[in-house]
Amino acid sequence: MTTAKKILANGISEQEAIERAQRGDPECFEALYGLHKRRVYSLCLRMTGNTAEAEDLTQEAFLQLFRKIATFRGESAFSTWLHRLAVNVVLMHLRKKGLPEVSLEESMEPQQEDGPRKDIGTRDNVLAGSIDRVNLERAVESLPPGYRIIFVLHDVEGYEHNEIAEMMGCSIGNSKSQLHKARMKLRDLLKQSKAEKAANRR
Amino acid sequence: MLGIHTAGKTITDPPSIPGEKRAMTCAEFQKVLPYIIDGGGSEEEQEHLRSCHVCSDLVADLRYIADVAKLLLPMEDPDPRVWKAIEEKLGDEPLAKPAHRNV
Repeated sequence: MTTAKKILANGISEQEAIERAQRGDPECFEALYGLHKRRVYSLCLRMTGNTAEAEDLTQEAFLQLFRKIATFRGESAFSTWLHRLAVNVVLMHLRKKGLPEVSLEESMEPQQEDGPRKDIGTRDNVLAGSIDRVNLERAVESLPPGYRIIFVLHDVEGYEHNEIAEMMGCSIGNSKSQLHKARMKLRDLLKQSKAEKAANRR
Repeated sequence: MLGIHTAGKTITDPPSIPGEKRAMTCAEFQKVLPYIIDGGGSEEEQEHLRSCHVCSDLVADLRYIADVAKLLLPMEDPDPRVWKAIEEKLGDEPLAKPAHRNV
């Protein structure tokens, strides 16, 4: 049985594990890691698209957690507090790498296309009901990093645009614009994948 | 391409009658779509959405993608070496000595 399960099987609640960890109890550090590692790692992996980086960032997020845990006062849920810490660790890492972020200038750029694209839209082309989590995961992995980050933060992790804007240092409008572009790119990727599957079945 | 989707006809402004408001085009609607897709939008924008199947299909697709995204679960556990690395670093810090157990 893992340490996390043992601790909780002994009737120790997560709240108590937090309080004990705040007093330096090493088993409770480990229990908290066991409880939250999957979500933190998954967030890091989705945002970086790279296993080695995700492992390093997970490690850093938990080290920061353990260093700062004494400051956790319970104003928010512990998982929310940890999650936000992990997001900040990832964003700091991406900034150091110089990955493109949302900028004010982007919103001032003219449309890249010369004019409206003429599509014949029919009901047969809608995506509804045709994609599953696996397809979407693959498509998200293919997104450019700047789009992937916004999409993961908003649509996967559930942050609001005002929260994303604060984290990313951009405006709410830019957050919305980037999210839209991310979803449009995913739509293109998913339609392409759907068309390829249909062609292979013939 | 993140283009503007339209029904398959050439976009020209319909002849204007003095005093009559021109209907919103797909290009105009899709320009504001990022800011209204999660709620809001003027009556004119809502009317375009109701009357244009191309734009309504586009909105349906984007909302569907957002809905499926909510179902993406945490993917997998990190390799055990991650905890080992944390244990070692914690051992060097004046926090606590972690127990050497498998997580």
